[in-house]
Amino acid sequence: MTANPFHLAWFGAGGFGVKSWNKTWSGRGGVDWASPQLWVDVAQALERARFDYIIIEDSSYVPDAYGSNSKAYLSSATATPKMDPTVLAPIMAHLTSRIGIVPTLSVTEYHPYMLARKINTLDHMSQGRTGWNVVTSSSHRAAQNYGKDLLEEHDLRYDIADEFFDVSCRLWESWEPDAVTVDEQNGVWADYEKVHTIDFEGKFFKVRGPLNAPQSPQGRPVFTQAGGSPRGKRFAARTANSVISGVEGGVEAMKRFRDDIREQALAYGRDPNDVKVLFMASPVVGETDEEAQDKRKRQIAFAEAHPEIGLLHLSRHSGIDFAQFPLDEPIPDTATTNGHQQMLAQAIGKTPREFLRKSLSTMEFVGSPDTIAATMDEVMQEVGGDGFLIANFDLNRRYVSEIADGLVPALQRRGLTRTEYTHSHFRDNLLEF
Amino acid sequence: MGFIATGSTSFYSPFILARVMATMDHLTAGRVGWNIVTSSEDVAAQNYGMEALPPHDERYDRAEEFVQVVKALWDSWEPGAIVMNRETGHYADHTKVHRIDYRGKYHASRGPLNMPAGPQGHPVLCQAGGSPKGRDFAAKHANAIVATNPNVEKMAAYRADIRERAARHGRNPDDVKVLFHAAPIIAETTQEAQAAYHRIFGMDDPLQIEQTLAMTAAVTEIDFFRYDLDAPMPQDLKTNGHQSVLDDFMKRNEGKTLRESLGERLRLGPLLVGTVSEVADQMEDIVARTGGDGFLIRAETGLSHTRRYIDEICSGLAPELRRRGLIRSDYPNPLFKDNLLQF
Repeated sequence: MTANPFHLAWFGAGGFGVKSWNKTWSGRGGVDWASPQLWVDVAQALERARFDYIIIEDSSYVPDAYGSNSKAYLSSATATPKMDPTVLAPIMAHLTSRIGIVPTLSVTEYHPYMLARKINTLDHMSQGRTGWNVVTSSSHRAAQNYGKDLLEEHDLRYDIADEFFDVSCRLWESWEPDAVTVDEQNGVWADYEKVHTIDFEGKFFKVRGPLNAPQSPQGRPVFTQAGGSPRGKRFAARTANSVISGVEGGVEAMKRFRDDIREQALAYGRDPNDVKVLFMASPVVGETDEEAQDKRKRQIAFAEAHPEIGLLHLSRHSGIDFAQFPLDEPIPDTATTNGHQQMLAQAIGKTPREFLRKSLSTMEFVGSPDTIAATMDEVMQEVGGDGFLIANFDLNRRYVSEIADGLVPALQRRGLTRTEYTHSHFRDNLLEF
Repeated sequence: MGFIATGSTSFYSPFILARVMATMDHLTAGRVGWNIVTSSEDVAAQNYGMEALPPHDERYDRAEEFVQVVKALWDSWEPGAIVMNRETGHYADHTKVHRIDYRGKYHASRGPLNMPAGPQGHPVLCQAGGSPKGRDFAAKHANAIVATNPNVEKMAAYRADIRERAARHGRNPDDVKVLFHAAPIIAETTQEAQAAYHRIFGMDDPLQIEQTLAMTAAVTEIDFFRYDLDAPMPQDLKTNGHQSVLDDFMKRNEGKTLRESLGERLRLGPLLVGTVSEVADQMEDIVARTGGDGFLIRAETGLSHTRRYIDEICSGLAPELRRRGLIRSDYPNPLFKDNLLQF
């Protein structure tokens, strides 16, 4: 018995910034970071491997949460610099033909009209392959770059997101699908009676419309979302086509998470099969299982020798300065945050050092391509679906090739992942199975 | 070649705009520019939750702050902030990356930008201010100013005014290039060119009239469909849109009918009609009489952005101008701004 076919996607962790730059296989990553070429190469490799989509992660501030200054982040090029993903996305789309391209944009940083217009433009340019990774932001530092004193409180951000989503959809549909007539004989390009103001007046936004460009091939983009908190999950169940999850606790927790999302989607009147839950994974691939295990040991040894690198991420996401906690004492449950709730919950009770040992993935996949493919098969059989979101914080071409040219063919031989794109639009492929 | 994207100071957040421009500057290896507009239509403002745009002069006060924030963000990483020491794993020097802590009347931002500025530092700034306030703003910030003037006298006066204002802001006037809108109509023979001119600006075709009225209404926010085409051009119109464009349109066409005025309206720049050699003569004459700095070719409605029109310019007109030594024959510098300011 094998699992039903599942989906693969890629998480461009750390966004459009410095990726691997001073390791053995970094290439010229430190110098060439501002070129789009690495991302184009990644997108083309993943398209070869028939990935559904690639997310370009984003945030818009120089972090200073760890040690209360920006030193650790800038020194290690962690989470900064980061350039604008909406500038990169069209280049990746233009040099691929089937894979979905998903930039990250925040509802607390954008105005809905500008965001709807950007996404509409990208969906036209990519001929129906654009997604929007919906985030609410989780740092006061980002809010302060946009002229606010503090970021809105956690649940309120999702109320904003709900309204933002609604107004954006209205804008994307403000031109009826057949509004563009291109009647060359009579000199009529568009039928103005099929282009409507939306006159939206909500609690947070007021938008007249219509959008100043016609409906794009997909109409609405594909929505991806990563909400892990109860409020975040509710938003995801209502809006997302794909939920990405880093839930801890192994297969049972993964199954619970997916069942919960599906149940809530059903309660919103949606078909649960229209919400694909993908789980974060960072497979460690070797020629043999032993080689892969040695590689994993070296990764762990490196992380333990450089504890601050791992803690930088937790500090940035939680807004709590983890430099203040002794490395080997449990993090007290008195710690609170207005940032990333789920991540803090996972850290409390553990010592910082223990927390570091946890891999980026929800579970470890270490071995030869065949070993990992077999493990992924088992996991998907137990969880029920819908696939994996591959991520690697030290992104280089060699790692991408291990996945795209090593692991994926092993999955395809087992009939577990797609070997062709059936449709031309991203959403149709994602919802195909 | 440089690429200039238009971004409105009324609708963008300065942080997003600074970041988009810096990203593009990296991706183009220093060949990007920002065409600064303040927007002029209330219906655009209503898409962004406002009832109406702020009054004209306040838009420029906001734009002034906006540009200050954006420039400060571009300057928030000192040169040399990226050290990239492979052995120590030390990528950037945090002591060279600074907050901006800008707090103005209209805009605020903490900073720093979450990326270093691109190869140009500040991308090329482009502006099209026509009103006194707009001209002053342009003269203070812009590297390139695009202007629409129908005749040589106005072009010369406009350029002299901009250069004087730039000098008052402590700038070298040669660092501000004034480029005039031009839409040359080029054909094999003089007769063919004149026939083409009439087809485009004659206002005989109802569809052409409608398109021109719609375009004029979009810029001025005046619904000209209400007026009689063959009655004299109204002279008392007010708008919160492009008032300088509207004033100019009315004044220029005093005594003419609306139909006649529309032909004029379509033709934004000076009259340039003829063979390649005749048009080159006309352009050479304009530059000689205005003092500089060049042209912004813009295919108007009727010519539109066809490949054919672009080819007439690139393969017909440009080689003739180059033979006369009037335009560049190469790009000596890698950065857009350096080429623009080369002469």
